[in-house]
Amino acid sequence: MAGSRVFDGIKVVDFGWIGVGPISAKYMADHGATVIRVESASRPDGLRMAAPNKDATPGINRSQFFASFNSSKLSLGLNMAHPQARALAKRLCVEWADVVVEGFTPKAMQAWGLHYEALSKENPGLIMLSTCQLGQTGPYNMYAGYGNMAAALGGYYDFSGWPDRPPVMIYGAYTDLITPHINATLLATALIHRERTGQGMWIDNSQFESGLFTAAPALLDYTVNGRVAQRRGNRDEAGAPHGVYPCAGDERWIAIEVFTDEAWRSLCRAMGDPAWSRDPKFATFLGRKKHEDELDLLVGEWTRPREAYDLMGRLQAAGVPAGVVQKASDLHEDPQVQHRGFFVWAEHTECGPMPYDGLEFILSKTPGEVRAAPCLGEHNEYVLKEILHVSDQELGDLVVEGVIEVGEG
Amino acid sequence: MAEGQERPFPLSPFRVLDLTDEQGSVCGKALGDLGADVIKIEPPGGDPARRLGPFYHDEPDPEKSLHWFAWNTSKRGITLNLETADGRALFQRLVHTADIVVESFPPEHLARLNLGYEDLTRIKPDIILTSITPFGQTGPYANYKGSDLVLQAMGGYAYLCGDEDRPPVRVGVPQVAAHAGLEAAAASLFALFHRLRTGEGQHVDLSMQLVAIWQLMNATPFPKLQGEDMKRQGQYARLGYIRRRSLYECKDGWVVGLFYGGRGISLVSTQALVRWMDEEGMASQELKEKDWASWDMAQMAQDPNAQEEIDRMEAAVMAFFRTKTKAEIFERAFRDRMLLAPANTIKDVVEHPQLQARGWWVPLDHPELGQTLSYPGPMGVFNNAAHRPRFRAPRIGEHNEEVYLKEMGLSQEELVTLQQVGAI
Repeated sequence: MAGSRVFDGIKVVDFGWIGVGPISAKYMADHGATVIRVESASRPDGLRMAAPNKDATPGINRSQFFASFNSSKLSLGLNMAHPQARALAKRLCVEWADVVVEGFTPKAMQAWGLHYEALSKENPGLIMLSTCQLGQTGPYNMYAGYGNMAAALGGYYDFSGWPDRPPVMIYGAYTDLITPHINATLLATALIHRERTGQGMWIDNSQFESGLFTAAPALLDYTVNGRVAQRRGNRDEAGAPHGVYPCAGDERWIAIEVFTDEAWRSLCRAMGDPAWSRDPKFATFLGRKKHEDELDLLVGEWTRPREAYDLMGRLQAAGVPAGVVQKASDLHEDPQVQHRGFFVWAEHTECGPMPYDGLEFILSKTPGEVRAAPCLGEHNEYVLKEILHVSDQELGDLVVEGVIEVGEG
Repeated sequence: MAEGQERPFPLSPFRVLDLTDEQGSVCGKALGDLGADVIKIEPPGGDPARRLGPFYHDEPDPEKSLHWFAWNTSKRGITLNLETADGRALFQRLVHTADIVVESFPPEHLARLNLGYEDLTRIKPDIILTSITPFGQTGPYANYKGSDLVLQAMGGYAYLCGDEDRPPVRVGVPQVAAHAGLEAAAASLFALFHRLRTGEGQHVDLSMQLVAIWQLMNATPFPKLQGEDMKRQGQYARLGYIRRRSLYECKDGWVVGLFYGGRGISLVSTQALVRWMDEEGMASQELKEKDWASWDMAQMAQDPNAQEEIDRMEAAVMAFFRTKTKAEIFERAFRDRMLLAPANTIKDVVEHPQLQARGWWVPLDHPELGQTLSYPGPMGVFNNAAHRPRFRAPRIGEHNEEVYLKEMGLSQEELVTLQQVGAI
């Protein structure tokens, strides 16, 4: 079915904030849903002014941090302090929406009369996703913070880094980048359920719990064996050598993983069978593990004068898993990333062509498409007149009263 | 919830055939925890992933891998050898009954066995095939090998982590296969939703490298828009001329804290911290009198002399935190809305009262161990449907009889023969 997308005709109202909510809604937008991001110019999303910005200059419509999480969406600028704004938001949710996404602390939507109980009374088929740091229930449900907090709470800083050093941050609001995979799965599940049964659903998602999902084996190691995951640099129990080694140039590194005897022999051959590699102490895995410090130094001495990409090519051709430690600018030049068409330059109304992170998977019949993010309030007229059937007169009044807002650059 | 009052699992009408190894096993687990009938298909003798630790009581047995337990909940297990004609014939019969097939073989592997997407559509036209590979089905790196470390490296995330004076470091617990499995579950369900609406199946091609890139948050556009690359900064965050500490030592460990000024939650947080310090006589005049609302990071970032003030403030905060435990800090942060969280150890995580209160831990029976083990729980809570790990990961060939004899109608003799010739 050429030109169709998975969520064609599905209507979403996105009350997300910063990370998880918006990215979760973005999945649907990129795959054909009409997603209206509700936002405010007087109290804009924290990312609206966050770097990186067009020409390194902040502005309400210039942040690519915001845009990246809000591709393919429409924007409705509403000042929710006004009762009329809340009434319009409610109409959107009960008269128009199939899905509502929100990322506030519990009770915020309730304070606006937009909680699931209220909305589903008038829109029983509604699917609503409520995602927040620690979940809708429990003694700490009102805890607020960024994904950095949830990542810290989840153990990510404690078990990352070097054994002889204190914990380090891993980049970014880490759990904000795990949770959307989960929310996309849960939203699709709810839509499938509704397709089959006609029933709507309320989804309570905790970003802390979602962040723990990917650490499951480590959690079991504690609950079953009482073992607390420790920092171990780039090592792995099943690999030797297994690490990051320096290459020629400034901040050039290569990751090498050797899990099998075969890969070890291939690595040795690629290194030209140096004398040290023929030492019997390195012939067995146990031997390589016992002398791992020395092994890492010796491999590093071999990699040090060599060009990282050339090395990767040679090692991969020899069947040794190896990969350059790429930085963001490398990703833009990466031929495989380019082959996948991952980075998408989409035309933004104010900024022109801007670089978006694209799609991680390709659907053969109904591929998604990343389109530019909206300016703040860009679609006010469309939403109010075409969807909510507000008259020109009313629209004018709403503007004058500051109920609806536009972000001024 | 009382037993016997089970709400339906939303994916219970659907069947998934799971051909993955450890690079893709998380996909089937997610779908199984949502109720799908996931049949894990392992080579005779068991999936090599069973060799991955940690192990139950450190007993290295293919039936005691905690990695296996974690990533294969809610799946039934059969053995099958796709390299044999008999094995392929059985698989084709199973495809007839399936909605989704998920695999993580190298590109073209299934096609060479005449079990590629086109082949599968001849058996079941609306089948959904989800393929998980390190770099994707096609392209210059399609045949490259890599698991967690190589993908964190090639995905750009390792570059961003660790101390500045050490090599880039990966997240301490392997991540990429788990992120990719979740993304594959989402993608499979997108395809399934489309099929329910149109009758059309399709092939899902997922690249683990691209999944890894999505961990980078906002780092990817920096080179194109601001001409610079983000870089690892250990316990700090750099902005222009200034360096801000993110991790502070406390009495029994470390906490992450973001102390900015400005407006909204940042302002509330910083003011609350100073108040707390003042209660204990540890807030200097400077801290108490500061106009935090106008303490602008973006402005300070342009000032080569701003670091001195920042260092003074951070030293005072660190001295204060050194008198407090992680638990005390968390409680106060929660109460006063401070942007502060302890860098929990795995032990702290497991004992966290919020998880207990939400009933997040799920007990699963292991009759073969004579024990019930406590598992990480669901991805979310539905108001009108069930979701959680339903039963423990399968033992090798545990459901061979159930599937081959009961469901597919093979005879016991056929089962024995197939076992002997290595087809199952």
